[in-house]
Amino acid sequence: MQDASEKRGATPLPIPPRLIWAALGLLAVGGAAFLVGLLVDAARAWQIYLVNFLFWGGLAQGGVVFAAVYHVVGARWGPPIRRLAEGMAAFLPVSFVLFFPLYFGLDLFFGRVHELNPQRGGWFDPRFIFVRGGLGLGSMTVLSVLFAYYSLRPEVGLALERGLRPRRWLDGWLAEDWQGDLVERQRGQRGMDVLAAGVLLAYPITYSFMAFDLIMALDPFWYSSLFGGYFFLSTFYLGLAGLAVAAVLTRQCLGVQAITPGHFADLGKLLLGFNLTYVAMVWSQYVVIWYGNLPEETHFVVLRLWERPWAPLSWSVLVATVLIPFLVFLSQRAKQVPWIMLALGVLIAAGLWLERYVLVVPSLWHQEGLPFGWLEAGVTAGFLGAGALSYAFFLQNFAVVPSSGPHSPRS
Amino acid sequence: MPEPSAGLVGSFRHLDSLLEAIERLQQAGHRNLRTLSPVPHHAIDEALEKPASPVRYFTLIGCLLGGITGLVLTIATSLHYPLITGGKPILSIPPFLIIVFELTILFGGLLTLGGMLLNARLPRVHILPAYDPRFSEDRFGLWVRCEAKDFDAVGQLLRSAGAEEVHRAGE
Repeated sequence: MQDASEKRGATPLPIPPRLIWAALGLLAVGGAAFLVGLLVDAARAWQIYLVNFLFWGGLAQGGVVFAAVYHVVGARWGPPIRRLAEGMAAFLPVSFVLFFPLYFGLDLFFGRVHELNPQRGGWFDPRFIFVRGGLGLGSMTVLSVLFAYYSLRPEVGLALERGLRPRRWLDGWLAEDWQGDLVERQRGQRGMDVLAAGVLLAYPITYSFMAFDLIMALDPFWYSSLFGGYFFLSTFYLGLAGLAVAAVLTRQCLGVQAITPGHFADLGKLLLGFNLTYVAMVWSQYVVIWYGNLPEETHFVVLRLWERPWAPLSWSVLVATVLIPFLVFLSQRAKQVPWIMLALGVLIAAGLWLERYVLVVPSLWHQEGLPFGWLEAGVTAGFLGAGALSYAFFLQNFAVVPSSGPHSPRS
Repeated sequence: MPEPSAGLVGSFRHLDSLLEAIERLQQAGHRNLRTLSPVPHHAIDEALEKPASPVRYFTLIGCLLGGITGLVLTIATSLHYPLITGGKPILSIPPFLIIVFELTILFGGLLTLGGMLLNARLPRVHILPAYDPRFSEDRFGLWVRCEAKDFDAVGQLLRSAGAEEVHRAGE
């Protein structure tokens, strides 16, 4: 009996069609909301697009970075968790494509900056920002997808060789020039060794640039050299939260029993650790600005923490991403309850979405009131739909429980 | 530890057989069990049904003490020597929090270490009678403290669960 439940997840999972339709619906709603938004109020449409681009792309990248860390440190505690993290690479090509429309928003993002602060030189020229952003994201996407490729190839090839798997789309590429299990496994191991290191080196650089170029530079005067580090750490924390959500949903909704409460507890410990690291980054940033008390630095924080309508949002970010998870994760029991992990993962992710909102929007929005309505909700839903679809595509094509290869379960 | 008999020690090659032996012995009413293992493993804690370790209370008390000490230290020294720095108020909480945090961790860490040593009764001067160098290498030991009259039954149980070897503790 245990065998049957263990096997679930060892082959690709059938995703219920209604979930796919729901995701497609969200995507359609999002696309429609964005297009209508462009006609009604282009500024709002672009700023929420940027917020969601940073959030969803970061979530997927954070997950892949976690898989790379797992590989580099030689971890063995959760092969299915690693696989779920690798799967987030499925959204990265989509996210890369979604980067290009931002070109049409550049004037909205940076036009005012250059009027107010013409001294900002060529480095912050919008076209240059766009080009280096594209190069960085492109290389991150290639590295991440290839990393997942080397992890999946030995399994897919072996399954095809033994006729355990009907040939699917992508399999031609995945199992091209198949040279037999042993050779391929060694080759996969070497490929992953190199690419995991590559992902881990490229990630902090690319995401520091993203933070400086797409968030910091939106404010005409603010600068902070710590902000890049703060941002890639918060993105990694986001990836872990997303991974917790994915793990719970895969176990509870798709019935993969190989993901155990022990895995949830381990993910919970990681989340607790990065919760503390995240708040340490927030504090290091805050205390330096507080101490220096330079107007070009403080205005950024004062606007977000003490002025309406942003202040309540910023404080909610701290409560949702730091305070509540910290208190709950102190309990060993709570970390093993799937629904608590799900709630906490969603809470942290929602908090970090709000964090990106609060980082981006106050720099761009100079009218009365809080720009949040059907347009923002719609675009966010669209990105959620795109993310869910790419993840469902991954789960439908690849096994959650690695069946062979260096990281198959030992027990 | 004046005991009439030191009991029996079973030596196991596999964790699973050790866990099985623990379960069978507990069913037979033997509660005074002790494992000697080369590696820590949660499954052993669970099988022995040990209550949660009291060390966490030491940690909590240490952290609270450290936090309070940090607050008192920073506030009291600032009030005793009120020197305005960088135009900030005398009592500026943001930089104080760094000291508070560090003392919280320091006291918490030290009391955790102390609590661990105290509860594990370390350092141990005498070697346990059941100890065998193999239990630091590749074997699990299970020490059952029981009366001499139970030796046969317990030895039987240990062997049937998969013990490679059963002998009297201290021999």
